Amino acid sequence: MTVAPMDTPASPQPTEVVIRARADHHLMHDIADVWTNRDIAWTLALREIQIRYKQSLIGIAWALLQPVLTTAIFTFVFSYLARIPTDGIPYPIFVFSGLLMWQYFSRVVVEASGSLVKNEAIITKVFFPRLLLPLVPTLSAAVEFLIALVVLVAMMLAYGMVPSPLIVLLPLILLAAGLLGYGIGLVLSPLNAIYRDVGIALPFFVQIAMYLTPVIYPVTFVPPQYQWLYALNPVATLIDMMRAIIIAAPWPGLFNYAVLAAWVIGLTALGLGTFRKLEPAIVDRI
Amino acid sequence: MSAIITVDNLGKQYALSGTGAPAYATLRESLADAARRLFSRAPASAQKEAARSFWALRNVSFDVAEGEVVGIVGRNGAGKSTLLKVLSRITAPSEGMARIRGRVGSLLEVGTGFHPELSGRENIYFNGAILGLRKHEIRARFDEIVEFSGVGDFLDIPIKRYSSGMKTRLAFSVAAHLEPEIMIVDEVLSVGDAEFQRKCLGKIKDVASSGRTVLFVSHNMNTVRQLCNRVILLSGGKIQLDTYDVGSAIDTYAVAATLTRRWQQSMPVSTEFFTLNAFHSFSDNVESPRINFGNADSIGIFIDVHVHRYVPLLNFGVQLSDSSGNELFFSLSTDGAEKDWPIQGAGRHKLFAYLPSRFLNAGEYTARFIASLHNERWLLDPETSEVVINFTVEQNSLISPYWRMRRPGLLAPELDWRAI
Repeated sequence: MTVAPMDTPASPQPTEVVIRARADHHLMHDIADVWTNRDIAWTLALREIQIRYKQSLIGIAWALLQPVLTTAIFTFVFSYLARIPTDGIPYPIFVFSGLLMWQYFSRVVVEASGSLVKNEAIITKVFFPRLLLPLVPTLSAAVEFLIALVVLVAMMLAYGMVPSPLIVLLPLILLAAGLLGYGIGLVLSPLNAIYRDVGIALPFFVQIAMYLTPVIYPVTFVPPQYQWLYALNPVATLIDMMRAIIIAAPWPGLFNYAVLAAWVIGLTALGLGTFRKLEPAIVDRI
Repeated sequence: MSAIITVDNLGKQYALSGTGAPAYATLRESLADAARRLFSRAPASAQKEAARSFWALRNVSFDVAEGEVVGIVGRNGAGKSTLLKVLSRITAPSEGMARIRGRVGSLLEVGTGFHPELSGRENIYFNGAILGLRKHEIRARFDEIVEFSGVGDFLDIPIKRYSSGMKTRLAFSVAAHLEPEIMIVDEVLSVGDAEFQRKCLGKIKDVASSGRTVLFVSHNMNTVRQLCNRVILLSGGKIQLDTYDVGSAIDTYAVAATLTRRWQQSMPVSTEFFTLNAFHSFSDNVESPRINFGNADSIGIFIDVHVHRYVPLLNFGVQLSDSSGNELFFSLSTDGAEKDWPIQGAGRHKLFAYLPSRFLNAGEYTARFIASLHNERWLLDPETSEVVINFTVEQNSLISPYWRMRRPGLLAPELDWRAI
């Protein structure tokens, strides 16, 4: 729905709202609506984090414990047993840095896809831009990403490694990962509200996708004739960028960035299109 | 004065999902459906589509000026809630448009967005944000909200430990302190205790008298009469009446409500627990229905019911309302001591009860048959039970030489005044 500019500048709330049939809505107005209501996204994200750890004994420490334990297991299985080479980087550091990015991305995808169903009670009773809902996990997952990042830096210091100052570029990578997940969430969340199959199948596909992404092994471990395939995987590029920053691994090639940008733009556009087309039906149907 | 709300030819069409069908489908069903559609002729399925949808609201146009308090009344399904949902932007209209100048605070359901694990304090901030307040605005009103709600001592414990009354009070407080230019309220005042309802009504009155605009849906005609200076009567998704003469609008509504709700005695009503054979008013002979009474006549209600599944929770009764739709009382077969209940098992039961004598005022009354599993659920509830009869009471036998006119007030009991 649309928000037109105010006609009386003196009024404290610059609102004239025009409510019209869905077909007459404009994308830019929807995006403006999201911006006007950004407070709600923050509030929802904070609530998400509060609720997640509220009744747990060790609280937010779970955000640390999960990646640390996963790293320990992966190190045992893939480094100690399977002896996957990591180009001279200590395996725990290598896998942790990949895992952080992967967990951020997959969490955004899964939670954004479930966001409409989860907030059903709110969206049928109060108005706010529904485009905000799949956006919330990009924020709440970012908080956990940052907490785990502190652990990563501590681990690196323990191994005598110093993070590169390029670490200040991380927010940009996170932004790309967030947009990627948001785009997928925009496509899947309305579908999930109509077909619950989506919510059932998604964790399975996310699990598979992790093995197709160089989280636990470096791309160089893959036979050279298949390595080009990884350039098409946007998350692989994101993880490589993350490792380039954190542990001075080589930067991905220019082609990879172009593919990544195409994915981000394409998925966001596809997501906005799908979401805006299905959203009105969802509210009446959910 | 320019309109603060302009509604122009608004319409909302809903698809009917088949009876009892789940709101969501499986991918498999949809794929199968799509395949079927591919092989059948398109026009046929378009026709089917049209047949499976209905207009909850159509051709609705009106303007509301700043400061008006508009009561929106109508039967269940008349489109009241749909109208409010469209105006609150929860659902988009299918045609037409509405223009709203000012911030809208809509209270369609209290407690929206409360999370059970979070404390009252945390929920105030969250609820406020969801309803459109900035953080600093909530902070500025926080104390007022807490004071109005009266849950100050419980602010830091999780909402899940609140009683439902406390939750309602807190939710209304947040919404009432939004200070929107336009307030949209849907029947929320039917919750909470009487004391708090009065407080809420007072708050809405304050909002109205401070020059802000209120749209108010209610089934309670007394409240509408008290609050509103204009009534829009909806019927079948269209505006039937739009007037500043609140009294006459309420009468029109009440007549429409009784006319369309008149129950045919020939229509047996069945639920999984019982079948209702007859329901009527009578005077002296229980089994001969009568609908016109004098004020001195005894007025009885007769229920003939066959219980095929007996549970002790099962009860029957009557809800009595006046011609303006004010509920006077309801009375249930289980009001007495358990051993005196008229229904103690399955089978056919004929019950009757008399109203107190010389109790009702002159006028038209509506008696509605209600049935429930006590404290569990309604089988036929006072809102929607279609089993309705009407009767009139005429003032034709007054004993006092001074009592000639219809008394003001809902009831006109003759009390027995004595000297000690």
